[in-house]
Amino acid sequence: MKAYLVAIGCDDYQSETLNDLSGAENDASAVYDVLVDSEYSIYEKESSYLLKSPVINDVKGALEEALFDKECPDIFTLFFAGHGGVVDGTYYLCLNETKTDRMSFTGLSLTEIFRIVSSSEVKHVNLIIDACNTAGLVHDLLSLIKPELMGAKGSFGISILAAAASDEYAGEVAGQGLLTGSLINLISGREKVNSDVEFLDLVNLGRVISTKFIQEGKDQTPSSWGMNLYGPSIFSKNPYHSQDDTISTHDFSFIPPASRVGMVLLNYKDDLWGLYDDLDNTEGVRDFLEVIRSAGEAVDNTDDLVTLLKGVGYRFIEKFSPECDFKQLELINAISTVLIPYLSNEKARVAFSEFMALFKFYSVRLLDDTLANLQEDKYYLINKEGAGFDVLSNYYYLPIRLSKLVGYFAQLLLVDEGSNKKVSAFLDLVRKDYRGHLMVISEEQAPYLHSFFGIYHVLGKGDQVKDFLISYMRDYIGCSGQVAALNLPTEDTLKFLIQRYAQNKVNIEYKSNPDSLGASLLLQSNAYGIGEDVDSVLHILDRHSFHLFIPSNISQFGEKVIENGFNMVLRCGSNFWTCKDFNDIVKEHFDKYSEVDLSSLSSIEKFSCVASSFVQPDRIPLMV
Amino acid sequence: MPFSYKTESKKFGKALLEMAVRAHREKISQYVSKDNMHSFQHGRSWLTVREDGTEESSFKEAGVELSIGYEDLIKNDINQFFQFLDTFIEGFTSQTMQGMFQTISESCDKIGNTVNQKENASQAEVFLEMLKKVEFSVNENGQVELPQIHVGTDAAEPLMQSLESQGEEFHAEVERIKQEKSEAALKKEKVRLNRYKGIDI
Repeated sequence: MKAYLVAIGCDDYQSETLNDLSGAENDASAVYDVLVDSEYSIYEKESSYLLKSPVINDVKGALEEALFDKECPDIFTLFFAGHGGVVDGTYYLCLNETKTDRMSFTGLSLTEIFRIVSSSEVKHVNLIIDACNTAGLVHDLLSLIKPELMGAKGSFGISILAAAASDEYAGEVAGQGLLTGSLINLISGREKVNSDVEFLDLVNLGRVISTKFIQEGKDQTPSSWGMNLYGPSIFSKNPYHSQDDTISTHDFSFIPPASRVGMVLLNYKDDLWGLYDDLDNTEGVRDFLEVIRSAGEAVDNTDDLVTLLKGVGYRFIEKFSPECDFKQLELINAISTVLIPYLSNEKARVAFSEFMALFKFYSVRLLDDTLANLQEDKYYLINKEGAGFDVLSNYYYLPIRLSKLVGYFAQLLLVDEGSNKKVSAFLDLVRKDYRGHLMVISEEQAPYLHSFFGIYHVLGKGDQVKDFLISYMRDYIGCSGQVAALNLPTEDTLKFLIQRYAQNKVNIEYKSNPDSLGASLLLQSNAYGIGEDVDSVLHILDRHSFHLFIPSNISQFGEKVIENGFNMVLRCGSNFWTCKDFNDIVKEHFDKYSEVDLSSLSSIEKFSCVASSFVQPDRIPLMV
Repeated sequence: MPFSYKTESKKFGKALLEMAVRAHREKISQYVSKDNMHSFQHGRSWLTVREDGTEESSFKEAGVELSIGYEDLIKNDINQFFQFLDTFIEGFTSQTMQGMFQTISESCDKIGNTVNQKENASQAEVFLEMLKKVEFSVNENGQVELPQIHVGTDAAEPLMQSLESQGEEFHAEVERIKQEKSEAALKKEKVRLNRYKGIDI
């Protein structure tokens, strides 16, 4: 199938009676870009023409080349934006040299265009005119309705889209014709027509645009005509058509399936559709991260990656709207995690900032909701679902839930310090009703608590949460640093919980060894000035192994397994005997073995490390 | 395939792998305390921090090639099931142990804490020399722990025979060294614990 385009935009007019325009050339360029130069193109670039403010001979020359000098196309599309009008029953396109008082010599009539086209062997013609009074072209249609031109086998069909009624002007907004703008939205996939057909036809597009204009009350009535149409009347590729008619990318993203990114995404459609339908389980967002990370690795460049993450991300996030859910924050953190290696790219940074802004929007609302719910019902944070014994699971999960909440609200402070007052109000309610649950249960709490205390300390507000740290540290020493291993199978959490309270020593298989949560608490104790108090009971943790992973850089901090970096295990009573010793050793080795310069981290970098650790709690963001 | 039990099969495989890993750890625990078995999620290296400096080390890979034929499955040859598991567990365990002894050997060579049998008359004397060079440790209950001796199966019997054939003087010397080393270990442990702010022994 061969398709050629001639796109004409005329801004400059020599005639004093025709005002210069400002958006016609833009319109022609935009149409040319989408039809010829985009991922949806079906038009041959070497046989298509973009003419800006041409004279009549330029246009005739382009038509001659396209329709006669080259192999005649199956589809030929002529786009015109500029002045136009009816003179003596004929519609004329006004070109650069056109003079209104001698239109028949200096304007290009549609009748003439029809004559040229009909003498070629083209199968289908699309004609789009974004000019005033375009429906006046109806006069010229009569020149086409002749048995020698139409109706016979092999004669050409024609689809026409006109911008305005014969007594209307064609409007323009921000340098773009209203008709052209709407047309481009549809053929570039910004808006969806349908997903049933592989190619869009101009008459149908005209109907969609016209309906929209009427609904929006515009003073312009586009219209479309089709004549002698047989077979598919092809105008452009349908971005939303998918060969697979079961699940389309548009079912779980805003990405048209026929786009470059859409085609990559089709390979992940089963997984994403499954997740879109059920994100509720704890592993849901982590699975989401794995899928978008894989899809991200399959696209060719950062621009496409950003398109993919926005297209999928916004759709997943929107699923929970207008309600708010912490899943939205988790999704934003997952998307931010995938962007980490690309933060040196400007487009990726802009996208990252947009997601940070979205994080702020949702987390402020969630903070308000949580506060309101807690004020109304002090048992709000207790999981009451299920029956019988289920409620007892709160003994294990409630402390973890609280750690996550304080972590997420501290992450909010990274993007909006102004929310501090509300976060403080939340912390006051926790102090009042949940103090007994400020305890260490699982290694999973490590990144949330580290970020919570780290962010408050960096913001100079450490005094506001020092009592929280004392509670956590007291509990940690009280249970001899025995915290449940990360990803402990659910059936073993119960065994861990019972052993934690009923035995001196928890079975080694259930606990974290070496443990990073304790390492984080020791660092924070030093930072918060309670190190010396901790030192007086540190012997209780004698022989306990503390672990920290020192990442070599930030760009890999989002990876599932961070390859470059060093594990460091420090044993209490062998490597250190005080919090300060511990802190000094960690600092010395971090400075030596990591390229990360803690003194010059941007807010984006800090946010990204926190985001990655929240969605993958097997790492601690030491950078915060 | 009809009635594939896809999800269940996946869970079955995961449970079997976890069981094999547990068995592997049990075997290793004959040589290394479970408290000293550490799991890491990230990186390919770790740092050993000592008072005289930090040493960088890299993880070493261990791998076992496993296969089971469809023919064995169709015959329902259950021996292949257990052999598959044994190959996995033994393969990883032997590689881990080999790596551990190699690391110990290299560390001893590095600091010269080795005994050369050629220079000594009997295995008993080598044993005595070795005992003199080993530092005893104290466990978390404050009790002295005697060092372990690992020898190959071929060397175990001759060593035992050599030790048993020694006279009273030899055994008295062994006891003296043990006593001396135990006292040194307890003294060192006391010093170590006294470094805590909250302890004054």
